Amino acid sequence: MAADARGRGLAVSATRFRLRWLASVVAVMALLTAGWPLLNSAVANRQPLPGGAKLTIGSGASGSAMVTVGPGWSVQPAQSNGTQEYRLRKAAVVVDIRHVSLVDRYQVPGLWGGMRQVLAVIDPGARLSKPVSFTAPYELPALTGWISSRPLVGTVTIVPGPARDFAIGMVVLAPRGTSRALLAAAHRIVISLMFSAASK
Amino acid sequence: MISARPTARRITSGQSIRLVEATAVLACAFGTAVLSWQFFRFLVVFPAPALLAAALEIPLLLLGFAVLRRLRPARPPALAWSAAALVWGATAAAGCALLANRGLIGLWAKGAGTRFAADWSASLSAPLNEEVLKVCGVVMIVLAAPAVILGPLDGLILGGLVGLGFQATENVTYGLNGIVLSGATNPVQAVADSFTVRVGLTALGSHWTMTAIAGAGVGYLVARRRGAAHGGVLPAAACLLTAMAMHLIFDAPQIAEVVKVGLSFAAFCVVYLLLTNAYASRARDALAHQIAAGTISRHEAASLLSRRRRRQELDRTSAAERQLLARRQASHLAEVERDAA
Repeated sequence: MAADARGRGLAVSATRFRLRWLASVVAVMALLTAGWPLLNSAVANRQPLPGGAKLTIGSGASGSAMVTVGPGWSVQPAQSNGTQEYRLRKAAVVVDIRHVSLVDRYQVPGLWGGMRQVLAVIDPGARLSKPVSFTAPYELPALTGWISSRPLVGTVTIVPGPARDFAIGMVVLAPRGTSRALLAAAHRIVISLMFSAASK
Repeated sequence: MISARPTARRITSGQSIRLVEATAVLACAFGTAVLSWQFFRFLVVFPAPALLAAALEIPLLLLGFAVLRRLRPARPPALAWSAAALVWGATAAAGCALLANRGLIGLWAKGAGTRFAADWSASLSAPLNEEVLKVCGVVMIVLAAPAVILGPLDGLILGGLVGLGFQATENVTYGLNGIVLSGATNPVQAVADSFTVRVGLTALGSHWTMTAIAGAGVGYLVARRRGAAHGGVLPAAACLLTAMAMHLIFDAPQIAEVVKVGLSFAAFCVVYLLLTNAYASRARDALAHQIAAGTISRHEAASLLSRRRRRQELDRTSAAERQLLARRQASHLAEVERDAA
């Protein structure tokens, strides 16, 4: 009888222990999985940039580029990473600047098709026009075209680096009817692109 | 008035185990859903490279699974729970870590700036989020199957398996992200390059080593609850902190890959050797007690702790007696393991 009671006591204690630890595991997992994202969404995702701010994207002198930002722009830190991507915003205009690593110069012709596929992953509704070639500063051949991602429209510009081992892709998106002044401000960021290696 | 105390009495031990199992299945389903939601578009746009990224991990998973289970002295951990550990790491931990890391990395970028975040956010976020989420899998196994993890060495092996599952999923996601980072100019090459770095170069010192050590910490807690002298909260905390420190170093910028991998692998080897030596010594003591009590013959005891010698004993026995001997070996081994763990 006493042994039975002790056995039952141990089983109850083990069950309590199990339930207590299960609750702790669930609480910790929920705290990490939901807590950080909630806290992150509660903090403003906008850091104003001073007019004339220069943003470097990429790493190392030979693998990076720089854009100059006019007044009134802010960076969205949660979507920005100094080595791979910046997201800039001014009113309703968004400029995405992406660093694209290339293995060799033979990948340059695939950049526009690649951009179309990348957009199909990150923004399935986006439609990209055929590219138009133009010459960027420092005589660098570049590509540009139209993008439409309802309800936004804009441009995509891709400029390969001087050594063709990386490229910078810039996507400007704004709602239809956005003022010309705002679009021109975004365009000024795009044409301000400079490659550290080319400027030496 | 509602009282909380009778709840445990109303839930039987079996029901509480089923509750743990159901929660684990739910967590794995949630993690899978998060990963699918995040990466499904890759499968649509880049079907062949996405399948390649997954297929390349299969040999790593199979080899790692076999080697880690083999590392346990005397006999491997239960197959079903080994698989459960792997699945937890690959789904529940990986899926939850994706959300947790995104949140914390965003906070670092907002609080400390994008340049700082680019260098340090991963090494300051992943050790906290990922090590805790992975080690939760080891705790769930302790709760669902108390006989599977009896001490630090069991925790080390099961933790290693959780980390291996996590590592495989993370490798796939890195391969897919590599496609975007290379502008999708050559998706297959991007996946292959990522595989070369993450399996060829860093696999030996990656997640499996860290979670193995954190898992050993859970084993120390289990040993303490069982009343074993070597159990304790301090070694458990030390193991988790060591795993986090290993992860921080592994993700830190400006440290050569070979140093990071070497450090993690060496840490695992040291902990493994210490634990196996202690385990073997306790197992020999337990066997000596059994011999003294007359529950096992000296001859049987001599072959009990070696897989090869147990097999040789079975091979020497007639077919009729083989099953009986195998059962007896398993029963003696279980008793020795209980004392040694």
